Amino acid sequence: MNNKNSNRMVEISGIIAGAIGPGKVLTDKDILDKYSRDETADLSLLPDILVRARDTSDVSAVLKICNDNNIPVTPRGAGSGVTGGALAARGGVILSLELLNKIIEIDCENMVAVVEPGVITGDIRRAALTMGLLYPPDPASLDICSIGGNVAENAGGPMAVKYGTTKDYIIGLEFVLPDGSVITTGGKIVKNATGYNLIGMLLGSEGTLAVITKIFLRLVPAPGASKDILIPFDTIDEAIDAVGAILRNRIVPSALEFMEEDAIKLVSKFFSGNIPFPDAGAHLLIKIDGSSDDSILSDMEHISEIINVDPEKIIAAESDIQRDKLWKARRSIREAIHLEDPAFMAEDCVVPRAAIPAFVKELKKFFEIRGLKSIMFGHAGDGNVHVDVLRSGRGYDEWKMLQPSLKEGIYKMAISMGGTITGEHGIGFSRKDYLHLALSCDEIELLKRIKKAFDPKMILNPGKIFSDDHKEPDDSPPC
Amino acid sequence: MEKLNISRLKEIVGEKNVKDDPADLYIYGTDASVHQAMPWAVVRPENAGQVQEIMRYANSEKIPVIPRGSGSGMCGQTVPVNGGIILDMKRMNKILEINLEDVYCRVEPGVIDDDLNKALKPYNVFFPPTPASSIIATIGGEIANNASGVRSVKYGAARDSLLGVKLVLASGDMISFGTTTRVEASGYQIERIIAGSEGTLGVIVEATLKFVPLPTIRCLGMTNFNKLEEAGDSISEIMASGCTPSMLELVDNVAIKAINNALKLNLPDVDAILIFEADGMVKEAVDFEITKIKDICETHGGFGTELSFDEKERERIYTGRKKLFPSLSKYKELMPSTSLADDMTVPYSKMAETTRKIHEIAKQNNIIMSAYGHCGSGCMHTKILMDTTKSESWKAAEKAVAQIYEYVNSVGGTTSAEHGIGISKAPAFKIEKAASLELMRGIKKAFDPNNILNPGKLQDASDDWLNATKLRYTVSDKCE
Ligand SMILES: Cc1cc2nc3c(=O)[nH]c(=O)nc-3n(C[C@H](O)[C@H](O)[C@H](O)COP(=O)(O)OP(=O)(O)OC[C@H]3O[C@@H](n4cnc5c(N)ncnc54)[C@H](O)[C@@H]3O)c2cc1C
Ligand SMILES: Cc1cc2nc3c(=O)[nH]c(=O)nc-3n(C[C@H](O)[C@H](O)[C@H](O)COP(=O)(O)OP(=O)(O)OC[C@H]3O[C@@H](n4cnc5c(N)ncnc54)[C@H](O)[C@@H]3O)c2cc1C
Repeated sequence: MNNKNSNRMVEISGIIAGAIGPGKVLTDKDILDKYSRDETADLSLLPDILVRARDTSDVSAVLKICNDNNIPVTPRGAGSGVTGGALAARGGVILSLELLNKIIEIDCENMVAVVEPGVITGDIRRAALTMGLLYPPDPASLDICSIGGNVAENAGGPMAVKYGTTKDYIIGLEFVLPDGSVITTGGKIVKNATGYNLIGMLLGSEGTLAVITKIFLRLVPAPGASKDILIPFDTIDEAIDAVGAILRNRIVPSALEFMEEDAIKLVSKFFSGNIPFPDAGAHLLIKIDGSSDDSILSDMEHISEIINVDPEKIIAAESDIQRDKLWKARRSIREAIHLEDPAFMAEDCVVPRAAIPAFVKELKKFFEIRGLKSIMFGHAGDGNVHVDVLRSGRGYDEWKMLQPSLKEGIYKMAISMGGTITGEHGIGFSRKDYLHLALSCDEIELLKRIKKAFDPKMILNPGKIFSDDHKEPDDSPPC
Repeated sequence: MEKLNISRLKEIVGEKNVKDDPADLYIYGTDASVHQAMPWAVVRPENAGQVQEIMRYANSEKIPVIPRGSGSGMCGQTVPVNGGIILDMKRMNKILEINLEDVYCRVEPGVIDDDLNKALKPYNVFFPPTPASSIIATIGGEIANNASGVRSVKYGAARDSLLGVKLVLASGDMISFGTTTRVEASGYQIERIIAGSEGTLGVIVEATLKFVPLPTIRCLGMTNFNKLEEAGDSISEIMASGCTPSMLELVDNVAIKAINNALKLNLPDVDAILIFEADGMVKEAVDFEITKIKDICETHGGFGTELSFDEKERERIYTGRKKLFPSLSKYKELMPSTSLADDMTVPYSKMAETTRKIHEIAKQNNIIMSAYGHCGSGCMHTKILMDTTKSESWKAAEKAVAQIYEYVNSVGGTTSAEHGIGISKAPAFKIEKAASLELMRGIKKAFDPNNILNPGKLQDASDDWLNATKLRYTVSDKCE
């Protein structure tokens, strides 16, 4: 940071502190350092100022000051993002929402939860369950991510195959525009055909359009009963065929997760071989839920009729302890990879479900030629494939140089199979240079014009989604 | 008008697909609302390429273009307030793909809802938003209005079934957003804002929709209540009980009388009726749900409950609700029903109170109003029954509409549940959304810098719906 900039930042932090109170504005080096990272492997971008807002009016005041002074502002939830969305790509202010963490209300009569954006998603889930209600989206990061971050990333999870992703549960938002104005849209109502769907615009907007300060969530009755099963297969093809057969037979499980051979081997190593079916070529984890035991039983019977596996080999779980055992391998993948190599590369593509085996096999070939080890797993029901690539002995610098071509290879393969470059984790900072692979020039131009309609001075989370958002929409070079 | 070059349009779509004789223009100048205005021409494209060419031409000449499906909108969404070209999308009516493996279908926008469901039925799946107008409504119109229907309480509105759209922008550029898959997070979710955009942001030329398994078992029930509040309490309790009814409809006394007059059904002359349905694949599970709903209704005073799994019986029980809309005009001689204050959303817990309030406002203004709706999703429909030949009726209606939406706003509801805003609900919409109108105008501009796509609607509509266009009705004593 040069001196001129640093003086300017001292001045700005003073103005902000004057407006909202000094305790909420921090510039200590070690704190800023902590906020220079999220869960993106090997990425750190240092902010100049950290503001911990306590209410909507703090958020509004900070945005107005930064907008007037052309200072970049990056909203941050719990910092569990894996594409660098919450990092200050162009310096300036990190606006943390972590202290806006109240569950304001759980209204059983209208089946709505009203929450602040900093609430940890898992806390909402638990609070709703005590009242017999369910908030279905269940990212694996449930206990380390905030609901505001989920809205901004349109987070998904295993239950998406039956219940959908975050977008299907947001029925109202309060948000603050870069100029400080506060807008509320939607509320405790489910049906809504009133004009442009601003909620839809903010979903997946990765903190680039507005800062979300209050969220109305639709809840559903918690299913009365559920059952989980784990089925081993010899090959990934057989596993995905089984998924197709289940869905074609109109059974809608509430989770359908797969792991391929290398993923199973890695987790098995992590647990010293102590996982179910450590030698299988693929695992399928299925959850069925419903209002009564009868309907679950009938679905389960139906599934074993459809799938050609030795019934002896299917493990079922009904209690929480059994369930944890079943899910142990699937849930520990990230930890296991991290232990193997903290600088691994993580992607999350989407392909049409039926294309999963071909996608997995082609990608494996692609990595093998390059002498790289890869791990794949994901939500088989909706074609969301997580692709983690290990450094496999490469030196750090070589690995850095190699990544762009690997990413491009993965994305191009997903797109050629009718898929897209990210299912849940967004574009953020790490994928912005690849957006043109998924969208045409005209499409990107439209997105930029929309960005401008919300944020004319381009101060909100700059340097994300678009590779050249500092240029005017119309002067970017024709592509 | 003089700037319109008809022969240019004929070059694009062919002679017989351009209409400009006044009789045609008159028909295309109105929809199911109270409004009427004359377009300059009607153009019927056959494919996306033609739509692109039409838009390029219109954009260069700054001629308004109004996309139109079947024109069954109730709020004047397709009425050309500033003239221009009506883009009739009904020739683009091909079902392009039904993919059972990945559970989606791709359709052109002019496909009629019922036709899509007929094509899906052999595969035992269905496209659920299905408005009551499904026999005429096009998929394009349903998306653009974010339509929904009786089953939306369980299956959601059009937006919830929309996976992706292909869109021609005002500039003529063609873009596509969304995927055939259920999850995606690449950039902003354009498809979600297109649902509900009422033809003001782009022309939908293709949609990717998801479908869901057709339930094999349905059970329908109907219960009577002597007091609206008892029905209201039942609704809240049903929705909070863990049940997921596939239908939950409230019918008020005005509607009951109208149905009895029109159809001679002899429904009991009670304060309210609730109609409910449970569906699924397993008889025991459906039975369990329907019994639970029935028990809740009866503990709150519901009586005379009828229940049936049988298709014929279910049809009989449902006849009244099904024919409710045309029946309303039979409530009283010379008091036809008009699409005014036609829909709104309120929290479930306010359904009964809202119904009372609507009756009270109607009485104060000397008109008749019926309230009914998909109460399981908080959706309330009303119609104003009045002597449409008298200007004083219109004045009264204007006052009633304003009072109703003021109330809806005060209880945390919203101006439209499913029919959209168009012209007639725009004043209430603009009050409700005052804080975000500028932002919405900014978004409109990002899509359509020259403001040629369906101008004068939503945030850009007049604050005075009564004088925004001519009325579709003859008002005999019109004295200004
Ligand atoms: C172990 C692990 C497992 C994961 N599993 C999943 C998974 O299964 N599914 C999945 O979808 N994701 C998953 N993720 C990714 C991550 O948890 C999600 O993207 C999550 O939604 C981020 O929430 P957050 O609060 O941590 O957001 P942050 O990382 O703080 O921010 C993410 C983005 O949201 C913006 N943002 C945050 N709060 C707001 C706000 N209030 N207003 C406006 N913008 C805001 C930020 O600017 C940033 O662009 C996983 C991550 C980890 C580390
Ligand atoms: C008797 C009756 C019952 C009804 N019941 C219901 C109900 O239960 N639920 C409900 O939601 N609605 C209902 N409606 C209202 C209406 O039928 C629906 O909203 C329907 O979806 C409109 O479809 P349409 O094809 O007639 O669209 P139109 O009326 O032709 O158009 C509606 C809007 O969509 C736009 N549009 C149409 N096609 C395109 C396209 N290809 N690209 C971009 N924009 C486009 C138009 O510009 C306009 O703004 C009812 C109407 C009637 C008359």
